[in-house]
Amino acid sequence: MTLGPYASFIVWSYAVCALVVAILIVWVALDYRKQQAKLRALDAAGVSRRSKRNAAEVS
Amino acid sequence: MTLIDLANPTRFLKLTERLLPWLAGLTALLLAIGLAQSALAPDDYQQGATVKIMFVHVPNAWLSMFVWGIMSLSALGTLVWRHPLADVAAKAAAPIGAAFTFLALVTGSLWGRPMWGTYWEWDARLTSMLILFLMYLGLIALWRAVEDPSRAARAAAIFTLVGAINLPIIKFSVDWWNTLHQPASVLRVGGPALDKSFLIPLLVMAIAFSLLFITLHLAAMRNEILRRRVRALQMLQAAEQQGQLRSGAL
Amino acid sequence: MTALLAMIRRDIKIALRVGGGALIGVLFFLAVVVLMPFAIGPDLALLQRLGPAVLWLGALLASLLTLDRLFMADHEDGSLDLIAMSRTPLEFACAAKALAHWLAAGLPLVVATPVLGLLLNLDGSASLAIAATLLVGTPALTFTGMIGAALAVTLHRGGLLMAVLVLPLSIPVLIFGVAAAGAAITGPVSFGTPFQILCALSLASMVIGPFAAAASLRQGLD
Repeated sequence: MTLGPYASFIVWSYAVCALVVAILIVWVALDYRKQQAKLRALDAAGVSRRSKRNAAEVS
Repeated sequence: MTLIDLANPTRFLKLTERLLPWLAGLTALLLAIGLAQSALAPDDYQQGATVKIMFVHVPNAWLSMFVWGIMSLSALGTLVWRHPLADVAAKAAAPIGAAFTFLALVTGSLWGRPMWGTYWEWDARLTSMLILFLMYLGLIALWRAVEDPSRAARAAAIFTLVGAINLPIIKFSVDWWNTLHQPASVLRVGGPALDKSFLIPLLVMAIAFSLLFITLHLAAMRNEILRRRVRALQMLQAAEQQGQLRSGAL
Repeated sequence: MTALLAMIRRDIKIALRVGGGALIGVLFFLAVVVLMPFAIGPDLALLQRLGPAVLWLGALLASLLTLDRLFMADHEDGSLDLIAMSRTPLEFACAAKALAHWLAAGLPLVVATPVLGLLLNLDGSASLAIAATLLVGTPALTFTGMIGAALAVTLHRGGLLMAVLVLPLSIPVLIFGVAAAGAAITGPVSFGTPFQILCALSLASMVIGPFAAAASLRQGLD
């Protein structure tokens, strides 16, 4: 596979795509961890969802 | 399992938990196949190897519009049926759509440099893409401007729908404006003359990127549901503490 | 109908009295056009060529800047809630408010255009052509901008957020407005085509704008 005289442009466009997709994946994963940690902390502090307390339907 | 059943966030969380690994694996597999195929694709007789940029540019461009379509459907869900997941879906999709639009712009201008001799040409497609990007950023700004998620969701839903009505008009007027100022578009790919050796990698990449979007979207929706749960619990905690303070004072 | 007429009359009165601020739009328009020669030089030929674009940009910005008055004052003193609760459909009420706003803030821009055209070395017929395009184009700006104004008032966020949301939506109006004005002066295309599309954009925005604004107010007011 030869990329011709414009190899750098091709490589750059694939690299930028890979970078942005990687940022998206890392962002989603870190966000998930952060929210889980917060939920665990709240749970440890004794705050639980009302649905667990008296089985009433809340959002 | 109907749409109504999914209104229960807990059930939705369980479903995503089960689906996400499969989706991520399938995405990775298809991306690998697509990348291999696009690496093996022959050079175009006119554009040479730069045609390879098409395999990442076109899927991103397609997704940038597809995501706005998804958000419009969610907006209908928010305004008409008040489906609680619709708010979440719309909010989670916006940054991902903006990222795909950004990629379409960057790869488009990297493709344009060898073709046009300049990074930016006020070409009709790139210009409409730029306006779409502006609208994504405006939408994200709207989401971030308001703290109450359901209030922000309704405002964002109206803007999304107005945008969906306006996007074809914007596309049409930019095309018209473009033909007025420069006779012919230089970038002419995607016509019926696209050879099979380009079409198959392009299709595989398009499907892979669509799966990538679905995976990221589901994961972001899951995060958003958890974020709302955290917010509700924090407010509950604050209310309880206030109640204790008040009863202690009495 | 009488209720709507009364509302239009009331809004115009409020906009034109002391503290109404409708005429500040014209002043802003004048200031933008006067600034232009300082930015691009007093070359009369160049100013003439850029004239339609300068006038259209000035009018666009001026009508956008006055728009946050559209619902804000009524929201602050509570009359917006009364309007929302009244028997008149909110869509009609929004259309009436936008019409009143256009009469008070948009029409003066159109009237001022021939005078400002003199500053940009545009001859009479060219100025009149630009004024005509503004006459049919500014309603589209007002009615599209109304959506942004309604969102801004329900979110308690004004100013920049509204501008960011509305500006991309007004690109088609700008394109066809400047194209029609340019066509009347030099242009390769005939005046009719872009002018008619501009009229179509205005009519479409008169349908979409009130519905979207009313939906936004109904969802957002509490």
